Amino acid sequence: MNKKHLGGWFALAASLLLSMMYLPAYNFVSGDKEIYRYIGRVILKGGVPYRDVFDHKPPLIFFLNAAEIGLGGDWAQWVFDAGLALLATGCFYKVCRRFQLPYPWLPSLLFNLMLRDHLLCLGMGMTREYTAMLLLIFFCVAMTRSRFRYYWLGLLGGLTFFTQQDQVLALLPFGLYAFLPREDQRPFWRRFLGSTVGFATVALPVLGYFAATHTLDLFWQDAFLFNIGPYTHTLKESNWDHWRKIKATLDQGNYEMPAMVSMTLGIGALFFRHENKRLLILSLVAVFLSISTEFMGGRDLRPMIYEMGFTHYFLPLSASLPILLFAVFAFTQEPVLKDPKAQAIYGVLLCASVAYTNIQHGLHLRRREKLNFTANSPAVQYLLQHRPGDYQFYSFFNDDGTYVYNQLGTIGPSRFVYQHMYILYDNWDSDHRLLKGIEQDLLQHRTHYVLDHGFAKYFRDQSAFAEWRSFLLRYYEPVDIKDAPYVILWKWKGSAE
Amino acid sequence: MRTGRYTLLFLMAASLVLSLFYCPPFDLGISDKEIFTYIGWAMSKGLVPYRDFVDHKPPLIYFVHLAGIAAGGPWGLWVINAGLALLATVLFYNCCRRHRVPFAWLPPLLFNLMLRDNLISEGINMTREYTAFLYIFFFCTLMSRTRYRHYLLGMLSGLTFFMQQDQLPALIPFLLYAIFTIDPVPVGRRIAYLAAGFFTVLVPLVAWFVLHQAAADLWQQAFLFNWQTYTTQRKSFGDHFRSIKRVLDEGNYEIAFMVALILGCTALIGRSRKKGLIGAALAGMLLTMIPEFLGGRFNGYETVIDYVYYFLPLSAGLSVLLFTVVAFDDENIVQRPMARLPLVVLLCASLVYTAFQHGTHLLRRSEDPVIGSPELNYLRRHRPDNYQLFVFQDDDYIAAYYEFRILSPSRWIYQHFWSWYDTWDPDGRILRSIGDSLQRHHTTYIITDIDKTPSFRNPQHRALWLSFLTSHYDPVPMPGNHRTLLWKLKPQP
Repeated sequence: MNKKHLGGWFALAASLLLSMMYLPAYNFVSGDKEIYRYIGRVILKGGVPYRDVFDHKPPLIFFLNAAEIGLGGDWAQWVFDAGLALLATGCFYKVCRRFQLPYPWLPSLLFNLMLRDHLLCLGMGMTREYTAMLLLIFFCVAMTRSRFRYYWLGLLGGLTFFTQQDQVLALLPFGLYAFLPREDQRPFWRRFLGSTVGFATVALPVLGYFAATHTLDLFWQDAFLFNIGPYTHTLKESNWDHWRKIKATLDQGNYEMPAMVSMTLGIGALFFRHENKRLLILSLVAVFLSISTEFMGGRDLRPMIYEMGFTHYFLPLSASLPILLFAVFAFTQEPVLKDPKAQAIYGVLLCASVAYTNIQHGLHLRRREKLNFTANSPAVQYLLQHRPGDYQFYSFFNDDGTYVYNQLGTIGPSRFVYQHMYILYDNWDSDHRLLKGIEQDLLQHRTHYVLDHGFAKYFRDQSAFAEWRSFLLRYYEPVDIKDAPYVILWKWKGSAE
Repeated sequence: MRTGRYTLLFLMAASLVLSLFYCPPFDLGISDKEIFTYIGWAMSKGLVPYRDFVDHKPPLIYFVHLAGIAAGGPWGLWVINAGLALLATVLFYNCCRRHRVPFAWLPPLLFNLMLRDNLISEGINMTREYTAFLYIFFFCTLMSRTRYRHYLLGMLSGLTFFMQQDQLPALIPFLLYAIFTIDPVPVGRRIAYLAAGFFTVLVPLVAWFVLHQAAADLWQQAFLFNWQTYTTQRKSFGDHFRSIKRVLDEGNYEIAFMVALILGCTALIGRSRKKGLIGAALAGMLLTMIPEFLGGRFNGYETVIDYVYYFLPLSAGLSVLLFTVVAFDDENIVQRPMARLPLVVLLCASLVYTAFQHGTHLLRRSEDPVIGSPELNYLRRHRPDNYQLFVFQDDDYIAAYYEFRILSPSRWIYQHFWSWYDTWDPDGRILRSIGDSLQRHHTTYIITDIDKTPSFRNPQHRALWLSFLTSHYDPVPMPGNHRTLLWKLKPQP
């Protein structure tokens, strides 16, 4: 082993080890991930996202899940996820080495420690985890001299856009950096063309798929218009609330130290001698843009602003903060920041807290089934025992209930596999058209079981609750299951056991 | 010089503003402080700690509260407390100036910000807040050239010991440094001065208790109890470590702690002038957290309860460590002017934010759920007399004793020993004695939450208390309150 690259091997080993904390047996269960998986299964069964299942995420995460299910399920997902983390780590290490950082492994290590911070990440398989890795790779490409780099930048931009649109914002500063006139002599139009071709490499097949399945309008409606409309406009928090939430999330997620140290150094470096202030400023902008999602609507159930429901929105900081550090350390002219001893001190400050979090998590791993409260609930156990077929089970108001579809390998009777829009938006489905549509689907399929979490307190519009409850009472009866206080399992009236 | 004067004024203003966040209308309620206030007031009525009330704190805190009550009640206490904070600030700043510490305002400011961190301090007038002041005084005395400094060090050790014993270990590294460092005063004489200073505190206190026939109670409750019972609950080392991390994190001490610790360690390894002093400051800072290791105090839930205010002395320990690093480390990066700014921001930013958030969201004491509870409002209308109210296992309601200026019918003014220790009061003798006291005084009201299951570790104790309560008292229903807290004596036949 080349001694020169010992740091690189260390960063790669750390990345692998940290990924191993989320091996399939230990990966966290979350409603979002179950929904991605469900849609992946729908695709494999010939269904089409947005037409057969409603979701407002861009489509790549569904295609990725479909591919992973096709290639072996949980393990395929882990291999892809861990592999992408290794790739990002390796690329970033190479860039840090090329720019002669005294500890080139440090930013890569910090990236991995933050990416796998269990207090924020919700395990593997979330969209923002992928976009964090794509952001880091994008930055590495922007720093290369490869002749295809504009193509790659476009391609990575496309991948990010179709995985989680809002994260494209964090790429913009580095895209801009790559396009700024420097020693690159290529004409602007060639660079632009390269990027466009790269973006089109992703966009065309995606758009082609939806055009071929006649679902372009639904795709546009659900994955874009919905996000620009109800998702970002209906719930508003004050700037102070956002600010307090950022502080609370950074604090409780143990991101506080890396965030404070990086931001202090980043802003401080602006006033010190620095060779590449352009990159420094753009990196600072990217840090803010990587958490701009926080400002795109409230989405925390007022007044519980500290409910910490959306911690994973901060995961892209795992890429943007190490990039900022790189920008500080690689180009600083200030002896205080250039000094390896000073960098070592800051390195300890940056990593200590997140390293501690990961060590604690690694030493106290809990098996997936123990983490899954939904799976352990008596109602779900009952369902898994009675194994209803396709369209014979419906989970209402409990995203984690999507787990049951995936466990049974079945498809739900309605395209609305999750329904928390009724919790979030006052004016959602005000004429109950969608709710009645769900009821119609259940009647059409004579759906046997409904796992209902739709209690009155969760409905912003009580008339929607009344509509739903009267429908259930008319066609369903509760199954008598003890110790299931949080859900009611309803059974089609008159159906045989 | 002029700049130094303005800086001092700024520091004093900052200290005063931070103290004002806890002036009586806004001070946070917590059971311990209510107990100290009650005992201070009861002492002014001639009662004697340990003999007439049970508590396991050393006696100085009661005398401080006695002085505060005599000087005007809660405002008198606040003036003493804010005055001590100002004094510590001025002395510490002068010490920093004398040793030409760059950014001489930083250690005193950090001390004040940490001391008044509402996420840790839980208000003012707690024992560990006073030991934090004493720690600063101790260090400033150690750094001074006064000929009486060893005597003063001994006296400050005595004050710390009789304020909160477990904070004495944090002074030991400095005591050792004072004894073994190069000094014109011979070692023997230094030890004699230290002992004389310590006795200056010890002798009057012990004499006072001897005169009031309470010396044995003092020994039993303030010392033996702490050794034999208080420290018997055990947490694993891992749990202690996690508690420390959690408290530092949630109390916003984390960044300041990590920065100071790392700078202290690097200064110890690198070239520095007074490694002994830096080592002592580092050890002192770590030892301020020693109470965390002196027992688990699970509070009956079997889940770890963090006692956040145990970490308040870090405010002094950490600021002192920072002083030693900046003043005596020749090689450290903090010696370079440009390097200091990021560290200053890191040290203060989070704490300034906490203080700012607290200062802009002050809660009036009357808005405290206990102070404004329907039960206390009811009692305000039916004002109980001396011995006519007893608070059982809902410590925060002890505030009622001082508010109504009434004495408790039992010397057992707080009772969480029954929820902490398996072996506490095994035959129920103490519990019965409480019942006897209540019956003897025909105590009209009891505040107790019988649904609070962790109140008793021993189910027999719970049964004993419930049978006493239900046979002599009736619950007083409160509109809109689902819990039954207030009980009234049944009409006598």
